Amino acid sequence: MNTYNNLYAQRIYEIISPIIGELMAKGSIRAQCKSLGITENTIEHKDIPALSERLRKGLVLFLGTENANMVASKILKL
Amino acid sequence: MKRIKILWLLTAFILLINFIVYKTVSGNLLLYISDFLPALCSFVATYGMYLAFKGFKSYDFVKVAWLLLLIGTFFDFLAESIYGILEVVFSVDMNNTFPSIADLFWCGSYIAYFLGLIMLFNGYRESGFPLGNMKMFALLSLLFTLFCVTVIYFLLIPIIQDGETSTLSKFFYLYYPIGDIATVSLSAILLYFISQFGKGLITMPWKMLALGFFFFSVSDLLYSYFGWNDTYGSGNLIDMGWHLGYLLVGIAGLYQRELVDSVKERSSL
Repeated sequence: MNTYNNLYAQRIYEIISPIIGELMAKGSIRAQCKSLGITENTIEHKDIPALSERLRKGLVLFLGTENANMVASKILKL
Repeated sequence: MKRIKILWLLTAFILLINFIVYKTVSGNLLLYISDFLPALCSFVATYGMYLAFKGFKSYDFVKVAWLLLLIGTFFDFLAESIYGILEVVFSVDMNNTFPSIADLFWCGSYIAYFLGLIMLFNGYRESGFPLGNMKMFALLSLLFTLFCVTVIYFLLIPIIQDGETSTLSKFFYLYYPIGDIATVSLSAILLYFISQFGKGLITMPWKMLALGFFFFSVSDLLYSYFGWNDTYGSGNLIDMGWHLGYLLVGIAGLYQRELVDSVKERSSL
């Protein structure tokens, strides 16, 4: 089921929601987009590196550097 | 997940045995068991924290935070063991020996816990994850104030005003409640942060950690109160809070390891 109309937002959501839960996946995508001056519906390919880096920093807290890097690299490949 | 299930079952079993023994046994056997159970439970906590610590590969701030929590549980294990050995092997009357060498390790464990929790707190603040709403922080602040006022009024003021207790004993008597306030407050904030994630494996380590410290600190505060009034003795049911606290901290460690391992497996697929 699609949560976002934006393809990138949807794919990022699909990558991180199994790890941090649907609620926080939406919250963190929204928060990180806001910090980049964009919204979930306006994510473009050029925003992906910055978004993946910001999400990586958050995930380190729970998963450690290696795992957070692995998740971020999946996002980076989008 | 199998290890976590076993530890949950062990927790239930230990608490049941704890309750039955404390209600039915007396004399030396009660003394032995009431000294053995905390050492066992703190060992389980240390084991859980060790597994969590080993789950992280690089020495980033998260690994250091879990290392500090591991050091805290290890100090608790040493303190519980020393306390039991002094009382059982060397027949020291621990109710009238305060502070003992065990207290040094207990005090050390608070510092390690506090630093570990502060690192997790700062890590969350800088993570970019939502911090939550102001109303909840206002409510938490109000509860914190009430909690502090209660502890200060019923525990700290009587200790400070007592003229018969030595300065060294006063220091230790004051140290524990203040350490408990700090630990419980940080745990409550972490619990609030993680509650925003809903349910799921990612929430379990912090939830169990916070609950563990909560039970531990409540028992500690009750112990300080009853100990100060000379109404605490071996086999008091307050001990169950410590045991549960230790076991929940151990369970938190196992959940953290499970989380790291599960993401590793998922990412390698």
